Amino acid sequence: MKNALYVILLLSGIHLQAQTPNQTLHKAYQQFGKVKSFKSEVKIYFDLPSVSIEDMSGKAFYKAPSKFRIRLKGIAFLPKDNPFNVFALIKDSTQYASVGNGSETIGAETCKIISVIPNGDSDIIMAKIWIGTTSNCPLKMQITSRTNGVVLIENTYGRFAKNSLPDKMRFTVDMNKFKVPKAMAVDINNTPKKTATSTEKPKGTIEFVFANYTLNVVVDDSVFKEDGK
Amino acid sequence: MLELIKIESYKIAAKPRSYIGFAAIFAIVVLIQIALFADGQAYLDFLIQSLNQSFQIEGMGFNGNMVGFIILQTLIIQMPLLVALVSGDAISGEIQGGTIRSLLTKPVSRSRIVWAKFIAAELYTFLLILWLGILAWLGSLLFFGNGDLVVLKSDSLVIVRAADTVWRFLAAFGVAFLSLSVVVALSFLLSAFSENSIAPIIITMSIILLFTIIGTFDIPIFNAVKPFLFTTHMIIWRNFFDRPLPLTQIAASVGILIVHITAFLSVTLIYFNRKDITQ
Repeated sequence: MKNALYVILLLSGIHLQAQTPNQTLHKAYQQFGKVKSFKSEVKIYFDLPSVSIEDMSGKAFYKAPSKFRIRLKGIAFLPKDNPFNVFALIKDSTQYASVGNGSETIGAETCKIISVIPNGDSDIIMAKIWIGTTSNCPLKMQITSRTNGVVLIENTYGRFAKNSLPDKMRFTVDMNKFKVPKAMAVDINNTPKKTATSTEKPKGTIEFVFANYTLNVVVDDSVFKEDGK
Repeated sequence: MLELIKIESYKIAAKPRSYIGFAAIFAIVVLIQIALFADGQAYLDFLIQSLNQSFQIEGMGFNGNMVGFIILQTLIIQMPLLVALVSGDAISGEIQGGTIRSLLTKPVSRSRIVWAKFIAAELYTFLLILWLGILAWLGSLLFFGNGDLVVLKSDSLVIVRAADTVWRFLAAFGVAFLSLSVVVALSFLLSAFSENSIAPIIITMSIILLFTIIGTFDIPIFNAVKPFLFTTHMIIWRNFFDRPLPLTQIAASVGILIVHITAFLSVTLIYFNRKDITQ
């Protein structure tokens, strides 16, 4: 009995060792691939330097392969990239090259770090993905794109981990320093606080907390259109 | 006393210059509204372009609350002039015209006369603020619609939700009225000392202009003086659009404005009661 257990463990170890980055990515995609569309409620928390904005609530919509939209009332600062775009990128292994970058533990889960470089023309230059070895979910993604720079996405999973749908998504975005001439802002008598000059761009974070996912429901395409278009 | 206030209010209403303020506000507000209707969105997009590079900004449409706020902060520099035009000659105008002697022959104390004139000037100021509120805020809401307010500062941005704007605007108008009351009290003080009706108006404006210029420059020596200038506290209405609400700062500034009004009015009362009117 003991020997049999050793054999099983050894085999599973060999299996883990043998899994290529492409296979790991394919596994992660397969989980999410079952989701053709979803609707959910979303609460958004902002922590943006030089922008004071209250938390907001809205609804999130997704439709395969890559349509994602958050609908809410009022002004909101949202990440420019569709956070599920990375699944569209890893869907077809002929469309990218992948390289394993070792492993790291996030929370209680060991993750494989894989860098994905798309072939041909793509806005994404490189995506570095931390995929949990147990859950097969991307726990962390660092996406470098031509238009939006570097965005770090950290995911926390709950009930819908089997579909790689996170309960929480935390985006860390590089921000440009906000500065408007006093005369244009008509901000007389305001003495800006002196801060240490740093060449580093300030970082802002936006957190999506999803609730009440409804999977594979009909989502009309009009939801994804810009208002008034 | 009520009769005296009525008489003083009638005097203000009878002067053509009292309507300059209403006409000026109408002209400025309509001009800004037309300009913002044409180019407001482009102006806003230009100001927030650095944020647009990092985020997808949803719902950033130009609306009545934003227009109302922009007009309010533009006009707040001109409003003291419009108020001083009327309150500056309340006493000196009577001295220059010689009507002060007949006024003082009435069986009412000099203090009551000053109070009646001050209250009448305050009523005028209130109507001016009300006019501004109706045109700049309610008018803009009517033409541009409701929406979240973007409060633009030189180094930051505050987003105030549409549902949260009404009380903030009302409080801001309240504090703007208190600020203009300082101008009324100052011009009254200068008016009591002067025998020329134009001098108090010009001196009031010069003081406000000088203090505002000092407030605009970010120079250490000026920064040390700023807390002692009443003009610094006159723009405290803007703080009602901050989050979290700087209640201590607002309360301190309101207190300082009240102290200024009390001081200016007290000196006016003491001086006018002792003033030797011979002409």
